[in-house]
Amino acid sequence: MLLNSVILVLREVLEAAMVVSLFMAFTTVSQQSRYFLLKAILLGLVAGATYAYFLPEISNWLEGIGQEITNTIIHLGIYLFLTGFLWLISSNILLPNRLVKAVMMAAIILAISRESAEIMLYISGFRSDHFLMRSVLSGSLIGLAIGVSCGIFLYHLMIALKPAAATKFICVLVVIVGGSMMSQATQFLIQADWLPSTEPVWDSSHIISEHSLPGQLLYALMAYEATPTWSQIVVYLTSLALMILVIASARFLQDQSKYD
Amino acid sequence: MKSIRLYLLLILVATLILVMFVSLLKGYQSSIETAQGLFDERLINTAELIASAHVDQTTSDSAQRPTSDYLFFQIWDANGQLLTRSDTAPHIALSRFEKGFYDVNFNGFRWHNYVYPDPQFQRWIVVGERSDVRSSMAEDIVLATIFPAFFGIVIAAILIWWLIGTGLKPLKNLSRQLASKQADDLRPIEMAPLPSEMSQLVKIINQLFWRLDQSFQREQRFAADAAHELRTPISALQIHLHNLRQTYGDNTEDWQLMQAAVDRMGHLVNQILMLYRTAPEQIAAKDESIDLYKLTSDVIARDYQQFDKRQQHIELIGDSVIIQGHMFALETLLQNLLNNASKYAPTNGHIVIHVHQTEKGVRLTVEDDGPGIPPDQYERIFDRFYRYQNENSDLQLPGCGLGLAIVRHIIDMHHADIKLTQSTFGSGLKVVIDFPVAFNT
Repeated sequence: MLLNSVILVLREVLEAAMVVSLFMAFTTVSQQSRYFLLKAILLGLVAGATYAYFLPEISNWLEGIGQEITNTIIHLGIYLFLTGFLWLISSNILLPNRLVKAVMMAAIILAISRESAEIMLYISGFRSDHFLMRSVLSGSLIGLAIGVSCGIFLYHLMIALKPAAATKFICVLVVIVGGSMMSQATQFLIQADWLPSTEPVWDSSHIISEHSLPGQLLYALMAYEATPTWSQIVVYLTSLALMILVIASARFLQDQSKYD
Repeated sequence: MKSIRLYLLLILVATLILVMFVSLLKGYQSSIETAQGLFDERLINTAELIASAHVDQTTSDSAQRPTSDYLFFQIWDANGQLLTRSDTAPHIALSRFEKGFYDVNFNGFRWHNYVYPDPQFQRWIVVGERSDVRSSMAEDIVLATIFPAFFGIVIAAILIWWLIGTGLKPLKNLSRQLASKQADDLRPIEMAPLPSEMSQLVKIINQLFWRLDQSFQREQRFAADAAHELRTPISALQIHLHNLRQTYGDNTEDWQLMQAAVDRMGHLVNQILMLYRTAPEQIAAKDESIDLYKLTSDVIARDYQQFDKRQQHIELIGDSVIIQGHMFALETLLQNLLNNASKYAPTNGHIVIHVHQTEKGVRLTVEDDGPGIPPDQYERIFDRFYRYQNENSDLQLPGCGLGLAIVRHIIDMHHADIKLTQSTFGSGLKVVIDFPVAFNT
């Protein structure tokens, strides 16, 4: 049970830690205040607790697929805010700083609310079983600590780079995390039967198991699946391409305005 | 990076957590496997024990043996007939009769069974244990080794925080020493013992101080020597000019302009010398008790001619107040302030000087009704050779831009505060100087 708890909590915490450390590194590199990130984390936790509290009712919506659809919307929202963030920092137009901050805050609130709700629900499921609770709590604590530590390393890795390189690296990671969000949204839609479930295209579990630590890291970074379906692969690649297109067009427009 | 201490703490604790918890999880996995092995061995022993204890070969299903909720046993004969069972065991065979371990589902739980062939009575002993209870027991044993790690990490974090603080102490001391240095204190930093990582840094800082000190001294010496050397030829020039004016008459504008230029040069040289003499490091005299009101009155009386010449009204208000200071320096300060006030106040203008005691010390204010200067120039006019020229005024006043730089020197020397504001006359400048009652140079 301890190992299951570690894996589940680690998977959720890693995803949130990735988004938070990316934005934290961006604010450090661009020499902005980081206070609003703390506010976003706290708001995300409150939103997560509220989501977890109402989840039994939410699950009954749309003939029992309410949770899957809500999760899809949250992931789609994160993707859109990450895309907006990429547009804003790539176009480099003189926008109010508040807008960039608002986009970062929204992405963090959504990411943390979803991941924290998942963890809260998982732990609360063992409320009546005191025997297992100890293992679950220990495992959750270990998962949380490993996830946060990975976030700290990622943050320091990014800020150790030169500002221009760090911004490029942040953009690349935001694109990958964005793709991962859309891939997970596809999974939820498959679970809700809104997308057809097809045969896996390949099975790479013998190379990297989804349940191993590297597997979890890759899941948090790019929604690694040992047995992905065609729809997941197509959505993942399309969302990556869309984000890259957004960066390219923002830069193109900026260059155009320079010559005008 | 906002704080080295916080950065090191976060990175070290994160490393500790990753290394410790990942190895703990590895250890947990192998410990669980070992515990499961032990439980399997216990199942084998239980089966053998049942075989040796139960020698009755008759069917006695009605006489169920009570066991705990998570354990059961069955005894089957060679023909697959159930001889006896515990009260928790089913009537049916859960796995095939072949020696070994089997995982089966029954009664809403997962069970781990061991099938043992009893060679003595040609029968099968089946012993089963609930899997979740086995896992919990195994986890209980292993968790006992994991819990100390949580406390260990907290204690390690506190220790790391403290140790980093201790390690960074020399750096803190260095920054404290640098922060507490006066602007004119260029003495080398003395710190002992120094860690090897910092000795190079302190050495470079001290070299920098030494070079700065040397260049300041060179600059001051040069200015003082040049001013001193120039005084004699300028005095000679003034005498020759006077003689020439006597011989050829002084009615032409050229003579007057030349006289003004020579006077200005003489003034400049005197001010440069004064700037050098009032530099804090040049003042060797000890501070003495001075009546600032009386000193002001003396300076006014001595320079009264210049105010009288322009029919300016000068007023000294206040009482006798004693401060600790340097007589020569304070005289120079008053002279410069009054000269400035007289220079900028119009003909028939007003100059008011206040000297009075305040809660914290003694306040001297000098104000005039001249054109004044805009607030954004207040800081700049203390710079050497900086002169503020009012754009709206055609008035070209003599001066070299050193008067207020000398005032600043004397203010710093007396640990006093100087503030410029608008005069109460509506236009003009008000200079407010607050002297502490006593100070140590």
